[in-house]
Amino acid sequence: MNRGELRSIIKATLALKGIETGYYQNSEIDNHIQDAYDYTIANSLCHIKFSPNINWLSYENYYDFKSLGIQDYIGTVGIFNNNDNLWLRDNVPARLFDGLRIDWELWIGNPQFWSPHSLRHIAIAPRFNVAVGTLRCLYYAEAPALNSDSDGFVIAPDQQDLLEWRALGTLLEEAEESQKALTYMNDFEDKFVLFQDRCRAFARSDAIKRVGESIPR
Amino acid sequence: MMNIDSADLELLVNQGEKSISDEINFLKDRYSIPAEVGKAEYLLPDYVNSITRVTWLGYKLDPMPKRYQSEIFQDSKQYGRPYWYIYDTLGIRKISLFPIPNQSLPVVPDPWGGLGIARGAICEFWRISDNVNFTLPHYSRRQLLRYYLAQKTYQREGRGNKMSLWKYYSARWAIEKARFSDFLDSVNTRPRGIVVPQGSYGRTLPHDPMLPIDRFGTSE
Repeated sequence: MNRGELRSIIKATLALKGIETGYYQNSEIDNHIQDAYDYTIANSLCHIKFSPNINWLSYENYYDFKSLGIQDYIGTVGIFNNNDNLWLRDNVPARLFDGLRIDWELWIGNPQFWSPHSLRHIAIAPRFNVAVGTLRCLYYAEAPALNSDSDGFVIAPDQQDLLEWRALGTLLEEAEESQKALTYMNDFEDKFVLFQDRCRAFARSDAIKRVGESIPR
Repeated sequence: MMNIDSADLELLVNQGEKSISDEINFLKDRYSIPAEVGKAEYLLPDYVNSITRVTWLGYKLDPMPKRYQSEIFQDSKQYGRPYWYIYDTLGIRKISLFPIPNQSLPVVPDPWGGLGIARGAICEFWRISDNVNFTLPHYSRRQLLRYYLAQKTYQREGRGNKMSLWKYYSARWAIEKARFSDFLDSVNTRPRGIVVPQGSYGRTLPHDPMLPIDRFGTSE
């Protein structure tokens, strides 16, 4: 399915629900589709990408990947150090870096640990005094912008009705048809939880057999 | 239809963003404390919501309630390198460094950079939105704030007041806030535990030193 096809489905459903043809311009419906797309991708974290090489920075514990050029960055999944071909360790939260060293922000060396810190930054320890080499960031990405009717969606085909329901819900809300909107919003909520689960625990059925391993969520 | 003009719209959107940043911590900022010799108390900016970390020349200071300080250190006035900061009974948005600094530190231009951290006293905190630089991420902003805006608008007295719609949008606002909080927990808070399993922090940290049992008795 692409945006043009989804818009046709939405327009037909709106007509069935008593919303006059022409009440919404195509561009308004497109905005709601984009909003639904942004929302679904961001909250399910289903879109993961690998960044190009990024230079390590001197004197920096906190990396802001958006300002380093990853425009569609939401959050980090992993950091790969190209210098030694190793992933940075990701099991210690930033607030426990103090347990590694009380002055971990002054710790100098080849980076070993990373942790989420805030929406803008991740924390890395230790840091380079004089940076050498590059890293690659595996990251949760935003939904791509839909610029034409032929643009498709980066969501599994069987889950694309999530976009239809969310967009229909918000369009009906805007028309003050809250009861009609609620039906679609409830459908969205029910299916979205399952989709979220599928994205976050994709290999659970197999991984659960490995006793003692925690399953990344 | 909603009873709202563009000025009201902007006001409510800004208000909604401030309200959610007050309720859910998602914006982190830093402030360089202008430390002076002999001065213990410092006033933090009014957008500070909750302190997450204070460092002195890169070393973490531990938070200490005033009561502990009174019990442990009595009324003594100690001067030296601060090891703690007291965060209560001082009045709103004030912290007190203890021991009282015996060294002045400059305000550093980049409190996130390693050079700034090594040279200054830095306070890190969750903050309230300023609606300009510290805002909701754009992929969530429209979706969240439309519900705040709608519930406030339909609640207003006069033309456009619709209590049934207000109820609907209040419920949606609560659902969306909960989902945003869940999103932050997944992206912002939890270590991933993909390369090294989660819950293995202990295996990362060095063990506590133990005294030799044959010379110093038993030890745990």
